Amino acid sequence: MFPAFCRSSAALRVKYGTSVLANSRLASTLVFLESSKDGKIAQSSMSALTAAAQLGFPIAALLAGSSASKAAEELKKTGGSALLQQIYVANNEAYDHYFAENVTPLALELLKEPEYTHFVVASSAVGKSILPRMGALLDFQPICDITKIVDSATFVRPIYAGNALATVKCLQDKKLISIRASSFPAAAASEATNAAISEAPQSSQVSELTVKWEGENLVKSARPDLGSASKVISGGRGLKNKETFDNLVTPLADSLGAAIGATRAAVDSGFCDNSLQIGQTGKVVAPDLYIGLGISGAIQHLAGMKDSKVIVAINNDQEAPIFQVADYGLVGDLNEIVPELTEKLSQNK
Amino acid sequence: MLRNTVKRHLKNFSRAKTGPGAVFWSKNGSGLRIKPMSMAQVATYSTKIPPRLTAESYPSVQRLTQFKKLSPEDMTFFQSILSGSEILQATADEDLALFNEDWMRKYKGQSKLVLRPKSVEQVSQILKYCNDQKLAVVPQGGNTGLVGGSVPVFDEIVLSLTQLNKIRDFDPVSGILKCDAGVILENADSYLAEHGYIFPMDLGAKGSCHVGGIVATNAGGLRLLRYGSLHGTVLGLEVVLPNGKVLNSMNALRKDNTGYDLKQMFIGSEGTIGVVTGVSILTPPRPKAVNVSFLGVGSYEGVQKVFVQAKQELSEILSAFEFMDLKSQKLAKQHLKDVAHPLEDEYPFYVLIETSGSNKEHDDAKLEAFLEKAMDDGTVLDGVVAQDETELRNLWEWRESIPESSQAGGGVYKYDVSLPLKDLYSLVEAANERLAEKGLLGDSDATKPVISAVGYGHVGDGNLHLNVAVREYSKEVEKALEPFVYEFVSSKNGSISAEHGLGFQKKNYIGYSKNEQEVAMIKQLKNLYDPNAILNPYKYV
Amino acid sequence: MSKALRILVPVKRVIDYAIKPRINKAGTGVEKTGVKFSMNPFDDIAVEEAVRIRESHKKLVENIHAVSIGPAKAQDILRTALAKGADTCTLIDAKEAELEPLAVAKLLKQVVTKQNANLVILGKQSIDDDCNNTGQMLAGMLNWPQATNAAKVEVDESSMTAKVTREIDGGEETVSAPLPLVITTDLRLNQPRYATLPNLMKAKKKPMEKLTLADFADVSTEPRLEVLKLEEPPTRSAGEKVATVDELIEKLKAVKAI
Repeated sequence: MFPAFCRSSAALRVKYGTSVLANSRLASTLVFLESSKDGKIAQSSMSALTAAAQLGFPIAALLAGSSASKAAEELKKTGGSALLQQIYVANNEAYDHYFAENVTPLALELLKEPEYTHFVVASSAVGKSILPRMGALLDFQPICDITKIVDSATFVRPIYAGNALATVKCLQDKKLISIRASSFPAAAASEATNAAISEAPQSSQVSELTVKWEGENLVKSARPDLGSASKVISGGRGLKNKETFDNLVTPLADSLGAAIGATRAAVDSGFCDNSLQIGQTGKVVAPDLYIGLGISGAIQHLAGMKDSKVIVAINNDQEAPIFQVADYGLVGDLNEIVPELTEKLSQNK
Repeated sequence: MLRNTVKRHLKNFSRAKTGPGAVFWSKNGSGLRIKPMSMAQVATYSTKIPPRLTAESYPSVQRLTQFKKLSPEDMTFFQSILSGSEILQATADEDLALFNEDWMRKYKGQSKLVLRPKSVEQVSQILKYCNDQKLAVVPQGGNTGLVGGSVPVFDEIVLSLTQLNKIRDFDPVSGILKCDAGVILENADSYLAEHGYIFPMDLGAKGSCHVGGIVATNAGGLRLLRYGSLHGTVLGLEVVLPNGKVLNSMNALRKDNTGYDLKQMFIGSEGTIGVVTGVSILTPPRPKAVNVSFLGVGSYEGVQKVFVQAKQELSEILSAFEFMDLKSQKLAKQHLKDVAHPLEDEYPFYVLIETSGSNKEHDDAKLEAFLEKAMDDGTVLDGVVAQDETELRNLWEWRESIPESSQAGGGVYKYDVSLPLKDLYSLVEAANERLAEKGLLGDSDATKPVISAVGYGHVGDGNLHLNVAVREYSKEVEKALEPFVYEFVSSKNGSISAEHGLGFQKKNYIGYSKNEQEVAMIKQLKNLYDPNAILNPYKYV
Repeated sequence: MSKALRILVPVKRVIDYAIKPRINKAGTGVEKTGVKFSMNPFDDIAVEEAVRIRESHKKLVENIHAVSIGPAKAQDILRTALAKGADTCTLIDAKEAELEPLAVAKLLKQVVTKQNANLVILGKQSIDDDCNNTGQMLAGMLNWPQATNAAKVEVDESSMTAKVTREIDGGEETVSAPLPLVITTDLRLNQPRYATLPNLMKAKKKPMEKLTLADFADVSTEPRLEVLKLEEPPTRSAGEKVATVDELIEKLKAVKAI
């Protein structure tokens, strides 16, 4: 999606519609919000709302599903954005699982109106499923998983697993956008809005495609799975023995609801099972928070966790290589530091 | 492994979608494998026995009285030339196990002091002082040696080169790299990769071993077949002699016939006659096209046949030729757990062939022709060719994880020998027979100390690794194997240590591969340059 | 009416994902010369799944056809697909053009019609542009149902439906849909097999149709988005040392790590 040759903007403009409608009264944003069975709007959708607000145009929200009305009332009360003027509700259980085959015609019924120049949805599983299908039916190329809005037609999106950031300009009449939730803070609950709630227009094209929902499996375990946990506490050889490993790592992990990992050296020394091994020959993790205890930071281990968002290292050897990659390092005695950290974190909860 | 490595690079996507705490259950009976990683399924692991002190395991080795014991005056001196973090002292809670224990956890020393200088000048001052005071010193790099050569036996001071870790210079035209001894091999190679060059040797421990260490041990590695040994690629060294004087030949050139080639004495000297602090090495251009194929072969004769054919048909692009026996793959399978083996069926032997060249189409065509012929004439029974970088690394993993897999059950007795090609595998068969005879072998019988005796190695260099995987180190196993293995090797006129060196493990066995005159001359040189014998005592010769 | 599955597996040639891409000096694109290319890993999983479906439903699968839209070298990727189990394939030589998913989906729609495919399995996204669009777009254009991010696929011969377990936020859900259907693959669906020597030899004899964009003159492949620039993300450097536990907790709270 990054042409080796860049077409001139003028040529694109002529082909695909009028110029950017910055601050035009006729510009308006339609946001698709997901809500749960109990009428709560998804966190990622609130981020979509923030992004929509950043565009600066009046906002209409679309909610669908059997709890849509409830979610709409909630949204009207707490708003999240002063630009929110309209809330469309398709209160029908047919939309409960957000199947793209059903949601697409619903969204397009609104989006086809000329007033809507922008469509925003979170780059969630649902957003990813519906946005491209919508694009295909409108003959528009969406701009997916954006991390930044430069202006109402220019966006930044990661490519190559985030190894490059592309700044992309869209000159199509309508901008179909999905946003990376972690890049846009969830719109805070503010005061009630003046948003009007109304029924979403029914699509003349109801889908005859019969996709059936068979079940789901949303399991939360007491200790998150190492491969996908958002927080990981990892122990290394510096913990000396199994007892210390268990006594220091486990409570800290519990206090943060984190998964537990270890280095090869720790596993080889018998501190824990090798299924916890993180590294080149173990698991590769990229949690939001990685805390390494008594880990020197050998290359083989770093290969397994260097993409973690925030890395903390606690080690009594200030020359340990791990301090080269840690965002925060604390040099000192693990036996004193870790229990203190665990206690203070537990108090905070 | 493909799954895990794919996950590494695509973490952003799967992370954005699935929240924390999600556990993916596998559904039964469908044959499709989804891998649950629930904590509840953690298998129990073997109790890892902490290493015994070498002095206890080998009571016949006595501490030499000529060496001084560390005194407060000595500490004062060291503290005057080194700063806080450069000195590590043993305390009641901290026995410096990291420096005292070797990689295989087979040997453990009793050093009370680790020095980590940051400059060559400091190394020089340390050695001069130790020589004057007759304090024994063990030079230590990445501590990945396999013969106990990098750890103390008694209270020798550990001189760690880890803080001497800068790349000094690189000439992109000639490819000459100059670096400190403490540069980690993988870091050196990553640096060279940026410039389109490659380090001329590679080994499994690359993430931990030092350039200085591989020079001091004359490591062979996986690509000796293609790039030759360090005796050829090292152009110059910077070495601190036992008396503290610095011998500097870092400005050495590709061709220089002016006098005895002194650096050759230090390459492979295992820290007994000088401490390598700097290395100047000639590096080749990085290949643009690399291919790896993993083949199943019916017999050791078949392995030899494939080797001859590979040399003939692949010739200049052949960069590695490794073989492994079925038992080694079985051990690796246990260790790599959920990763599927490249070949569906089992074969008595496996061969890994790597080609490296400058032209992908050219290399692909050569490899394809070679493999087709080998399959047609029945030399190769089955095989796979890596289709992308990840498959390539996974195939290597089946070879490179053998040492770790051998160790994982508790411990490993390693024998690294050179034998005439036709006799290479016979040692493995003989060792298995002997262990079985002595009632020591039991792969699923936990009462027997030996899990499995496997063979693999750089058949291209005539180098076999015999790994005897054990549940625990035991005198019984050692007695069964030594000097049996060395005698066997000697009877075939082979080398008892092809590339791992002598270290502590083979100190008394040099006689099996070198004659009296050779040993005498080696001792003469040692006495000449290290009259107080302070460098790495109790080892080598 | 005899039941038959004709599976289409689109595969894309991408920079090998084990290699870190570099941005060219002009900042207009990613460096491609001298770089290793291979099959998009999710497409590899798609090929594997098609082959497994055939292995579990011996008589049902009439044909597995792979298709790749890219430069002439994409033939290598197609050869790999053939070696891993595809029967026939098509190369649409787009020369150096970088096509957006919208264009790719339009081209694939025509291939689907030509091959009379009733099941399309492709990767959920390609690891270069990371759009995660093509499968859904194709389904929309064909007016077929879509089952994206498949972690498990079960085909029911008698009813010609597929039951797909999909990965969603927070877990999985299972859906069933009648064929014809578009499925996009996710990581956990399967572990692709290696290309074995006997199969690599056989692949050389399997047919490869070679077409160009000119054969699809009615499809507009002009890009709709203009890439203004490419940049590297900020690099991680050595952070800071903190002196106490309190300081650490404070810092972590400030960056919302806890």
